[in-house]
Amino acid sequence: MEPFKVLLFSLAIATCLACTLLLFREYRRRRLRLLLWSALCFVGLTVNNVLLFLDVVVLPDGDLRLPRLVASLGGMLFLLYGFVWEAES
Amino acid sequence: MTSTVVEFLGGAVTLAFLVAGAFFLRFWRKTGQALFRSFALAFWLLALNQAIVSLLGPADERTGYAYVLRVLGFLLILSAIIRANLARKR
Amino acid sequence: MNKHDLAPDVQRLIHSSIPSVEALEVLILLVSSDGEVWSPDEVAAALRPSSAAVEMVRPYLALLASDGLLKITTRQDGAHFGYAPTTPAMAEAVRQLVMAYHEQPVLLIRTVYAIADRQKLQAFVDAFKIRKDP
Repeated sequence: MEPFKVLLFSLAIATCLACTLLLFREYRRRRLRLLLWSALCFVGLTVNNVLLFLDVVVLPDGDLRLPRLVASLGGMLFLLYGFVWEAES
Repeated sequence: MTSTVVEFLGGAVTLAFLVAGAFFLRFWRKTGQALFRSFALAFWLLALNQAIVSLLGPADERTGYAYVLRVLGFLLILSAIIRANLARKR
Repeated sequence: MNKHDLAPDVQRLIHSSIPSVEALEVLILLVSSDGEVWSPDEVAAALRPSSAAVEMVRPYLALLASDGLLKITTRQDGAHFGYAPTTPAMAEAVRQLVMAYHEQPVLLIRTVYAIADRQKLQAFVDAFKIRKDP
């Protein structure tokens, strides 16, 4: 079970990282702030996934719930800010 | 103290995922882009996962399985990205 | 497409060259000054207070120029922009746009917003396409 879990968590990290990089790349090309806020959201989700990986796989005795939630919430607030102010003119 | 903050943040994150999913659903209806539908479903899975984790608490062993939902969410995003790229090449 | 929509040529013009209501104001100003050339500062001053800091005006002028609607004249004090459509089809689309600006302003502004929204969402989707078509 453990290697499978590692694979799944790594995929989640890789997905978030890919989203972050692709959105930043498009932001640099198009300069649309919606893309910047979305990219920052995925920064938060990437950090969250890395912390989750550490929490569950590497340090099962630790408790990183607080920083994990802070990373997710920070990211999501960027995204919602972007949706509210940039996606609906 | 910490556990109160964790509970509070867990609820906030759940709601944020739900609202983001609703936005993506609207974007899908507006543009017809399948990528937005996948993102909507993915964020709702993340919301469901966060709700389950928050409600069951860390001591509950079932929490281990709740993470399957979040992994499913991210796999959905990954497959949407892959499909967006395949559609372009055809 | 129904009778409450703008002409397809006008929609295409908005799609390619008018990303915002401020950009619309810039184009209308230059068109109605009939070939006169403007510096970005003059455009910003003329649009005040409805729009526009000069940093906002500059990229719109550059976009309109690169789409062949404006001609750039370089003077000692920098680039000046004047309305000079490169094709008759462009001139006709702009004429219809100006007509809509005066006769159906609400519809026109709504259309500008709607197209801008759709383009932002499209940009979000395009971000995930790894290989870009030119």
